[in-house]
Amino acid sequence: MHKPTLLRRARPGAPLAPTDAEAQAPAAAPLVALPPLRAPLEAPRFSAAVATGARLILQSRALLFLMLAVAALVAVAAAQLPGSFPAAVGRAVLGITLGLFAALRGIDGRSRHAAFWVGMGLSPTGLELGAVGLDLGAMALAWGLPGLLGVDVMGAPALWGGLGLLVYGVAAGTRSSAPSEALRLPRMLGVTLGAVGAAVVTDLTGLGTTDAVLQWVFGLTALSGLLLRLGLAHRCPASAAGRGRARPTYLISALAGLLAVPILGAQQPGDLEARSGVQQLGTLYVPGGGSGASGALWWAAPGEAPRRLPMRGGFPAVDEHPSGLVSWRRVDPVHHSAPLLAHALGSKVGAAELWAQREAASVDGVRLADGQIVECPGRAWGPDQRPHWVSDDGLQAEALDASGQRWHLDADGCRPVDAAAVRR
Amino acid sequence: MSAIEVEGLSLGRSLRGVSFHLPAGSCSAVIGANGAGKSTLLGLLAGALRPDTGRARCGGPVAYLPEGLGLDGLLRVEAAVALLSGLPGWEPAVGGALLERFGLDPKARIGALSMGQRTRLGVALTLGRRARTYLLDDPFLGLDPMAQVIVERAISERAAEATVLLGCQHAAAAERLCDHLLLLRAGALLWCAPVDAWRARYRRLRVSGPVDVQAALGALVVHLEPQGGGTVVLVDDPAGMAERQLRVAGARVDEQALPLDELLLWVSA
Repeated sequence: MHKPTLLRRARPGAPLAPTDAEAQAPAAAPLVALPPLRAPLEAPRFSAAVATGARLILQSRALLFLMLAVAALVAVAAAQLPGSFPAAVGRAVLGITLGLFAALRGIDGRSRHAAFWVGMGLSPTGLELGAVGLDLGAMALAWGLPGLLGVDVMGAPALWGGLGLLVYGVAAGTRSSAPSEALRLPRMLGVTLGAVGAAVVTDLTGLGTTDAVLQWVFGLTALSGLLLRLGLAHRCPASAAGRGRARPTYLISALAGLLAVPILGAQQPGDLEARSGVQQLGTLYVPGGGSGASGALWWAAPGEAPRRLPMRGGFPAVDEHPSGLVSWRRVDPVHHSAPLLAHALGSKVGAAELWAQREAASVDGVRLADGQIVECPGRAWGPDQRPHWVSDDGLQAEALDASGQRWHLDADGCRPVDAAAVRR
Repeated sequence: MSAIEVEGLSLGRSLRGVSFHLPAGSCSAVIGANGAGKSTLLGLLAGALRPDTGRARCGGPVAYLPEGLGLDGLLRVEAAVALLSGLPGWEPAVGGALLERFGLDPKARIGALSMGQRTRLGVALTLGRRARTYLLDDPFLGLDPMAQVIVERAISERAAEATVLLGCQHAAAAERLCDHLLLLRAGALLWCAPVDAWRARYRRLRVSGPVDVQAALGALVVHLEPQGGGTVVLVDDPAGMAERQLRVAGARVDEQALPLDELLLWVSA
């Protein structure tokens, strides 16, 4: 083993301490008159940690928050200008800024800088909760501000909000996986790919509509990322600082979306019920389009338990209007999916027979806001796939069928618009 | 009564089964080479890291200065002070006096400060807080001699009424300030004892005359090397037998000063 040589002093008798500096410093009097220690000493509360976590982020990342606020105001102002171009630019500015903010703040798990405050007795989970709360609050404000001002900026606000939350959650899930943001970035991309893969797998199961699958998979991914961030703040507050272990916990976030399969699989038939055509082949359960619902259609042949219908290819579509009116359609099911449908129904009705009854099996219809169900048997709605007009009270609607004929739906039924009985 | 109790503390490869007790009111220093586990040990004691096994207990409340301060570089000095002053235990008189003495610009961003200035700020923020235990990881990092004196004095004043544990590369400063020393090597604790115990155990002797030093001292030799017609030998000699054995063998022996940093270089090598 290599042994170092003994040290020699450059000048024999050289002092150990910096005596020149000591001579310059006031020697006799204490530097600071320390007050006597009083007991008991208080430990900081959890709420103090939350507040400190939020204030830390606000003061050190003020520019990022300012950028988000400016983008929201620009989008609102642009939406007030004439023409569609300024509004589109404003929307793009807000959307990009929101995504950028979410990514930067999510991936910015600066636990190295939390060590000082944790060492001062502040709860690491409280610190992280304050930071996450501030981030999500700022995103919600930027996302909801246009709506509060009565301006439609986002176009599809739920989509933008969901994407922002997804990006934040995915990035947050990589905390403690590496000591720097640059090293966390590939892990963030890995989690994103994992979430997309989980969405594809879940969609292939046919347990829910694509919308429902994306909501559940991406929601679970984002939620797991946030929970991982908060949990790891407690478990290993400074692990991303290069001390302690880098943990591959982000893999949990990448795979969390697969939980959507059992969740969707456990859902039961919706509360809506429509009878399928005049020949009464069975009962079709049509769920509402609420958040979290699988959107699955259920079929019950007479005397049998309801069975979930297959979802592939956008086969069923259910839309919920803000007024409370719910519309649904099955996209020419027999024509496209007769064998599949026959298998799903488990009935003895063969594909050929279903083909023959195609018109009868078409159950495009609506549930009015007052709960009454109105169908247009034998009428497949056109390219809109939903009513093109709905009254504010949700009690009347109009739809185009495939031939371009307008149909009016209200409590009295489904009639051509030019029929004498149509009321407005 | 122990103020710091550590039992079988391990974390990955950084720290392996470390155990020690330090009495209340003591001032101690953890010393060792880079990567020996000093910062990991202090981080575990402060709660900034969680151990794989073992446990650590500090008499609280604790004030902790991480290595290199560990505050966000985008934060301003005054903002850090304002945040800390909102927490229980902050003493504006002490913290303010230290900040003033260190001449730090309150408007400056922490990331724009030099290493020494960041260390000064960290020391002021940490010692400005009333605590029962102070954990200071490399509180002399990048300090100029004047600042080093001020910091050493402030630490010694705090040490008079609280327990202090330093993580430190400056063995000389540790020797001046502390009454206990802990030596870490590759994550393992080699030594935890009062400073006097070091002095009583290791000695540096200059030997001249026609004598085979290695043969005369045997296992007592830690290191020897020829120097200026004689031999300088470092001995691990708690019983004080080396000098007598050399004289019996016909050698002339002079004891030389053995600075702690030199001793540590050897013991931790």
